[in-house]
Amino acid sequence: MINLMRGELYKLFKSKCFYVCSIVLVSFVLLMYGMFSLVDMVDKEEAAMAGNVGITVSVETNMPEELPIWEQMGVIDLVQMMFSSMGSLLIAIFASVFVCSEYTCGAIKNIVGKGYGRGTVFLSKYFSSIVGAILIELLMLGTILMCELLILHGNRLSGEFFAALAEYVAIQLMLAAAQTGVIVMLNQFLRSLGAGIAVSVCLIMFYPIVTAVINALLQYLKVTINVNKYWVVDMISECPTTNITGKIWGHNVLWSMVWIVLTIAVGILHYRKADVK
Amino acid sequence: MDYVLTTDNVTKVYGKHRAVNRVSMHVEKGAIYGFIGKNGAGKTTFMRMVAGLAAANEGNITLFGSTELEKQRKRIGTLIENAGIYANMSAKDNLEIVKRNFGITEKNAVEEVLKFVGLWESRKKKVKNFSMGMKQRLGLAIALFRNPDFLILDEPINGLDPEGIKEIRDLLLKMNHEKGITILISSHILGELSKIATHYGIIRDGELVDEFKAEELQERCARCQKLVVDNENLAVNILEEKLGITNYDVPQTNTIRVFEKLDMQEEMNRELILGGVNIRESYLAGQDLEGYFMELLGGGSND
Repeated sequence: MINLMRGELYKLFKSKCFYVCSIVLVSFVLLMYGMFSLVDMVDKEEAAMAGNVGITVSVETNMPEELPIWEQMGVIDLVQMMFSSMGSLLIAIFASVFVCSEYTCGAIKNIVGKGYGRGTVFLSKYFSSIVGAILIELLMLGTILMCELLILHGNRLSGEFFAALAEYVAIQLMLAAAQTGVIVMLNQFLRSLGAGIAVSVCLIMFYPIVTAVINALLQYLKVTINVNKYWVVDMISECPTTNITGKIWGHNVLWSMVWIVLTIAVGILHYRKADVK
Repeated sequence: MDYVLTTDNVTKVYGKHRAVNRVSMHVEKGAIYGFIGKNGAGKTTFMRMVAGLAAANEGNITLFGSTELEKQRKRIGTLIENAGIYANMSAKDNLEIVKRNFGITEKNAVEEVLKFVGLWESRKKKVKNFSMGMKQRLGLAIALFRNPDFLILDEPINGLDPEGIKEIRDLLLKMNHEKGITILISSHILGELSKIATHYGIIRDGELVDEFKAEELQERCARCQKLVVDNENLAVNILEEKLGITNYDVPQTNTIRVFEKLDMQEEMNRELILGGVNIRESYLAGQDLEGYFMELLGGGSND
């Protein structure tokens, strides 16, 4: 297992998709900060210009005054936005490519049937994909913090913020590991690059349709369970950024573990008998 | 006899189709075993079962005299269907992965194997820029990495030009002679296979129809005594009456093919001359290797 993990990690750091997904995610963070900085500049310019040139017509309303963009969007809100959107999507794409490329180029044959158990082969791929996904997410987080330092001079980075961030990121990384596990398992079934990416992307983007159908079905069967509460992708987007109570922790830890154990068990069970081409 | 691989009624079924049907193969230690069959005959499926890439539905496989296959497969190197290599990586990186996977700690293991297959100079080149022959040689390098005792090669010369074919052939002979590696090799290029194989196995529609040694092949191909004479009727009478030969034919005027008592060539010639028959030609004739294989494979072209 250790040998296989060493091989997998070597592959990870030589893998094009790992770097491409990381670069895309970092670019999105930079783009987001660039966009907000521009909006902030325009807002400030408009405020400075107000009443100085021409005629200003104002209508009194009961609407509250609009806050500056950086106040509307806190750091942790940006972190949440990235984790639940681009982060989630790109680690799914990364895991799909990382798993399926083994089958596309046939390199899996260099491991399977070479004295390692099928379960060990599955687990090495499973855990190395999780390591890759977590590294991508951490790189995204690092870029956000770097932008805060460079653009906003770290004004919003207080000790209190870091405490809340640490708690939130710990849960998010755990959920990201569980989500990657689901993607790895699915791709070990599919073993086709195109199909793997398509299914993974659909799972991340269109899951509300699937969960809505399941919920409706359960309602019809008079079962009062909301599956969204237990579906890992939903948990990533619904996880609160502040006031994370013990109950929230417990729920997220429990269901992350459930998904990880479930995907490992089903994956190994299938992989033990599967023919490798 | 010391066998590297023996199988006992190994069967693989896909749905209702028996891809491999009760195959019992015997590969001797030190042999180069040529595995011959048409496309879809079951060669690759059989090799994949031996290599642990597919599970047999029935039958037993024994490797190095043991049925603990997972353990024994550490001694096998495989190149099945295509070389499992990452096109975006260099030859060296591909082997570095294999080195780590196998837990090999020798510092220059990669260098040694790349030099052995003649790819050391191209070690930094990305595999996607490799020629077909270079890719196959890299596949062989991966198969050879753990110094295997047994190599399973599925059509390793497919798609290669004559020079590439010669390179691989020389490499295989080198491995067999210098390192004593037993090789199970399948190929469509029968003439090429006959240059290196010491044993043969013929598979047809999933069934192993024959197994024989290279020496036997020569005997099997030489199957008749061909006589070209000036008087066929007189010659036939002499063969029948003096030598008791009945299994013969006359494919064309004055040409006789004798299919029995092939060890009595001298007697045949003597009796014919003494009987007043002039012999223009007399020789042991038969099919060429390709023709013989085709007959075993069930006729027709090897598509």
